[in-house]
Amino acid sequence: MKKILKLKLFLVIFVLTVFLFPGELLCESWLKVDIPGGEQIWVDTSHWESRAVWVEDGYYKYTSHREWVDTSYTVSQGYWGAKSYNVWVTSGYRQYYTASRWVNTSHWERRWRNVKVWVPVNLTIYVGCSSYGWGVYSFASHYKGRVTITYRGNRYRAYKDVIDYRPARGGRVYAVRYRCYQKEATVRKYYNVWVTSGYRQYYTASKWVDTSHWGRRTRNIWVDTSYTISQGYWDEHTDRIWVDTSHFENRAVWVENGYYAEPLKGEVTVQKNPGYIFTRWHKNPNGEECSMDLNVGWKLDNSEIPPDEEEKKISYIYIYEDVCRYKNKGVEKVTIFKGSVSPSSEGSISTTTKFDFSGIEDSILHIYIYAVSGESAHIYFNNPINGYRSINIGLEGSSSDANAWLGGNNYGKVEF
Amino acid sequence: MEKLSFNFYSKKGSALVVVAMLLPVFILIVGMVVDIGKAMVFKEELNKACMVAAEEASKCIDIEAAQELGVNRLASNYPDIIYEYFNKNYEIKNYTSINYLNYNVIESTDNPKYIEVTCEAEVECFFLKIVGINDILIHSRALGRLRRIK
Repeated sequence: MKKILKLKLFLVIFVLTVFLFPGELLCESWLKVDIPGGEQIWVDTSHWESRAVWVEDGYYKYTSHREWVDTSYTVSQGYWGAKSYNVWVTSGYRQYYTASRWVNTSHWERRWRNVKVWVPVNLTIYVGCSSYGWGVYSFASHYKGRVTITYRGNRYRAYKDVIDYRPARGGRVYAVRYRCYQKEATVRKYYNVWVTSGYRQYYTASKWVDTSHWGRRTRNIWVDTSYTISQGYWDEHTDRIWVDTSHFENRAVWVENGYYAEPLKGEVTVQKNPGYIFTRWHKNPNGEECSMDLNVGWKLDNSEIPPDEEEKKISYIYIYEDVCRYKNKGVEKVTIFKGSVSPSSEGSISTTTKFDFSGIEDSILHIYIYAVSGESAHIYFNNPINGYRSINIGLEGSSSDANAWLGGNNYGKVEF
Repeated sequence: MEKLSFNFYSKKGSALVVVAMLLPVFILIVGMVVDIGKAMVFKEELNKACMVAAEEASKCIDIEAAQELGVNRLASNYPDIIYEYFNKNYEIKNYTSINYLNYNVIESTDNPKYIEVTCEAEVECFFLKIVGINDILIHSRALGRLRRIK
């Protein structure tokens, strides 16, 4: 019976291993792969999305403050009292007095004086002959120029003609003729003269004598003797105020999304150099810090994907190692590569990593490869990091060779 | 004339006698403390130098062989490392002298477990010379471990 049970158990394990997890069966001994099983896998494209969300928020703010309560009051009182005050009294009188003023009588006065003037005249005076006789001997007359003569008390200006003729018959004819053309006459000539004159005139004038003045008056007024008594007290109290800080804020909202797709199929090769990894504190023969060169290559098998599905290409790689430190000092996560690669169904990347801390055999190097369409594969293997004393020589023994350093794997290929 | 008198029972001057007797003993004790203390201080210094030398030598593995083959093998220059770090970590004084500095690899250089560094030195005494001790001999030993003990 026991043999039959053991056989059944073996068959169950064998069937599960072969048909449900075929990827693991094809793994190299030290490389392990972890991909979602089944015909189709759910490619989860859920992601965080930033959305504006109204966030109801706030807090009570307690403010303690002091307030002055004023209990002041006023006592109203007073009395009637006489109060003197000044007023302006308007008064005056008219005063008469004798004043004088100068009356100016200066004026223009017309006056005359006698002046001698020559006036035209037409008078002919004959001396020594008459006008007839002059006519007879006028041929012998000679003009003698202008002369001024006095005739009958008057003075004349005249042209003088003289006849001085001695006729053949003997004798002498002598006569003078004055042809007066101007006569001196006395005429009145009027002219204006400014005569300065005047006199002082006395008259009765008056003026207003202003006797306005400040006068003292007295009147009854209400003298207010009211007074205020200032008093009060500080009232301290605490108020609770709701401070509303509600606001819109961009929050990462998890959007669940995804689709079914064919799982990744292909192979991954891992090449590690050197086989035994040491921390950076060890120096290689060139004096350089020890490091780990890791080359990860992938080759996807797209031959079996349906026609309506796009060819799968790797676009993102994430490689890291969880270094489990000695003496339970925790796990040191060392990112070896994290980033996008050119989408391709076949490719490789090379990395170089230096480790700060040594790690025991449980330290695992993880390789995640992500396809453009969201599928992923996880390859991992134990990768201890040797420190100065990584070799175990415990009395109880060790799973690893105590005479050799930890590690040793440098090449592996896994199919899935 | 004044007569000199001696009283056998008088205690005058007894303290002087006691001090005269104990003073050499006191000086000897102080000298011992000083000289032995000096030797102990130097021994600590030697211990430190041996420890550092052993520790640094234990790191002196053949890294090329370790990376490629995984074997634990001491590099050929580990004695130089021992001498270098020993000499760097102790101060030479005019009253000390190193008699020897030895090292020993437990198991073999191709599969070492420990490196043992031993040293002997002499410290010249100053006060103890009075009692005929010229030097104090001191020893130091340190182990450098090349493997981890779980």
